[in-house]
Amino acid sequence: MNLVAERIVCAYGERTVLHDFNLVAEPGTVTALLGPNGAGKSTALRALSRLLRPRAGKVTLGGEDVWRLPRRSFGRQVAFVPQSEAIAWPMTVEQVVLLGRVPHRGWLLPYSAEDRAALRTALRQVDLEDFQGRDLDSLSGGERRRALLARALAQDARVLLLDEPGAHLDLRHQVELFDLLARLARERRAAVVLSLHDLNLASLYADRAVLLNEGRIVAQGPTQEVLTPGLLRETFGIAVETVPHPRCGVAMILPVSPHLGET
Amino acid sequence: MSRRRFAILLLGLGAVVALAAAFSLTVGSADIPAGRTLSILTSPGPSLERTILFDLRLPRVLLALCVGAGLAGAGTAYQGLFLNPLADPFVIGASSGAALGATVSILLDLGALPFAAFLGSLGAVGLVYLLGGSGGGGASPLSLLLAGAAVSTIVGSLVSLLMILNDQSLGVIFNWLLGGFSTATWRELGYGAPMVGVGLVLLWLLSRPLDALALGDDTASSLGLSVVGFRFAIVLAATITTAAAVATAGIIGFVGLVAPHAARLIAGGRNSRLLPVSCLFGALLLLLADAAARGLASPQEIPVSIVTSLVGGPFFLYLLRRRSA
Repeated sequence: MNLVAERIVCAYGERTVLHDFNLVAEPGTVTALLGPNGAGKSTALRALSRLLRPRAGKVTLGGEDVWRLPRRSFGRQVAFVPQSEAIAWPMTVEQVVLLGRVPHRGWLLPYSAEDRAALRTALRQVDLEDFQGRDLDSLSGGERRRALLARALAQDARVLLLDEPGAHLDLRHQVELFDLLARLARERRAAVVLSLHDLNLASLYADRAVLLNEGRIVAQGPTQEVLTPGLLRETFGIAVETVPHPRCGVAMILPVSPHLGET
Repeated sequence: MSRRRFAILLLGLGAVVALAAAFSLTVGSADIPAGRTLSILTSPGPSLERTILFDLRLPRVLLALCVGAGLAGAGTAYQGLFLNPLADPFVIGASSGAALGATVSILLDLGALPFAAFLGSLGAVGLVYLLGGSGGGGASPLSLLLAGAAVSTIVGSLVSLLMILNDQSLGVIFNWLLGGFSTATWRELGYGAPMVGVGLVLLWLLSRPLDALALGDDTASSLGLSVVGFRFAIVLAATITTAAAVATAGIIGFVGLVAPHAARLIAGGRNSRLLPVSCLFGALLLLLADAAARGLASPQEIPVSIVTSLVGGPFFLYLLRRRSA
C-alpha cells in the first residue's frame, strides 16, 4: 500500500517550512530524506505520519486521505519513530514496546498472547531480548533508540517512518539497524521512509533519495542518481567528491576542504 | 513483576491499610479500650461509646482513607500527565479555587461550604485549562503548569484579601484552609466518597493513555491517541477527584506528592498498577496522619495538614536521596 504525499505545503504559524513536497513510499523500498538542518525533513515526516496537517495538498494511504482514516486504523498501518525521546519517566522496555500494540488492542483491553509474541519478536529484531524488564532510563542512548524502534516494530505496520533513526548509535548498531530496516522492506514488503544526515548510510541502504533544501525538493530519484557531487554541492553548499565503495560499488561521499591538504 | 506477585502486593497493602484503619478507630480523646472496639460496634442498642465510635470516629476514619486515596490518585495522574515529579493534585489551581469557594461560602454564610469549595475548585482548574489552551492546539502541559501557577497565585491573594477584610471570620477560614477531619460526618462521606470513587475509576480506565503520553505527544498520537481529548479527560477525572477530596477535608498537602513517589518505587511506572498502589499508600498515610493529629496532643487536635507536611517533607527528601543514590 503506497503512502503518497501530493504537493503538500506545511507551515508553523506564518512560516512555511515545506513547499510542494511530493513523495511516493512504495512497499519494499527504503526512501531517505536528505538535506541540511532545517531543510524540512522532519516536517515532511510529521506530515506523512499524520501529525501535522498540511496547509495544501494531501497525504494519502492506499488512495485514501489519511486525515479521513480513523486514528487507530492509521496506527495499524503506519508507525512513526520520532527523533527526540525525552522519556523522563520510569517505564520498562516491555511496557514501552507493548504500547506499540495499542492500535491493535485499544486503550482498555489487556494485552493478549499475540501482543506478547509481537513484543518478543520486536525485541529480538533489535537485539534487546534480555532487556525486557529493564527501566528505559537505565539504558544507554543507543539501547534506548533500539527500544523505541522495537515499539514501532511491535506496531506491525506496513509503512515505517523514522526521524534520524541512526543518530546516537555506534557503527555496529547503525549498520545492524539499517540492515534490519532493509530486511523489513525486502522480506515483509514494508515501505520505509527515514531522514538521516549520514549520506554514506543513505547511499548504502536507500533505494530512493530525496534531497531537500530550505523546504524545497532539490532532486529525488534512485539514490545513486541523486547523490552526485553537483547536486550535493547545490544542497549542502560544500564541495564533495564520490568514490565507489570497494565492496559494493555504491558512491561514498567525501567532503573536500582546503584545510585537508592534498597528497 | 508478575501478575501474581502484584496481586499479593495489593492484597498485602490492603491488609495494612485495614489494620491502620482499625488502629485509627481506637485513637481519640474519649478513652475507649482498643480491645472492646469491635464488640461495642457490633453490640446492639445505643450507648455513648457506640455513638462516639460509630458517628464520630468511623466516618472520620473512612473519610481520611477516601481523601488520602483520592489525593494520591490525582497526584499520580498529574505527575504522569505533566511528566513532572513535583506535580501534586493542587498544581493547576484545584486547592486555591476550593479555598476561594470555601471563603466565599463562610463570609456569605451560604451554609454550603463543601459544595462551594467543590465548585471553586472545578472553576479554577477550568480557568487554568482555558488560559493554558488559549495559545491554540490544545492545552500543552507546560502552558497548563504556567497558567496554574498564575491562577493559583491570583486566587490565593484574593482569599488572603477576603480574610484580611473580614477579620472576624479569619479563624474559621484559616481553620478550614489547614484541612482536617474533625467535622467529618456520614453526610460528608456520603457525597465525598462516591465522587472520589468515580474520579479514581475514571483515572484507572485512562491509565494506558497516560502511559502513552509519557512517550511524548508525537508517539502517543501516532499510536492513535487523541492527545488533546485524552489530556482533557485525564485533567477532568483528576480534578473531580481532587475537588471532592478538598471539598470534604480542606487543603491537605504532601499526600498527593509523596504517595505516588513511594508507590513508583515498588510498583514501577505502569499507571494501571501504579494508581492502585499509590491510592493505598495515600490512604495509609492520611489515616496515620489523622490518628496522630487526634492522638498526639489529645484532647487538643493538631491540624492534619501540619502532620502530613511534617512527616511527608522529610520522607520526600528521603525518597529523593534514594533516587539519586
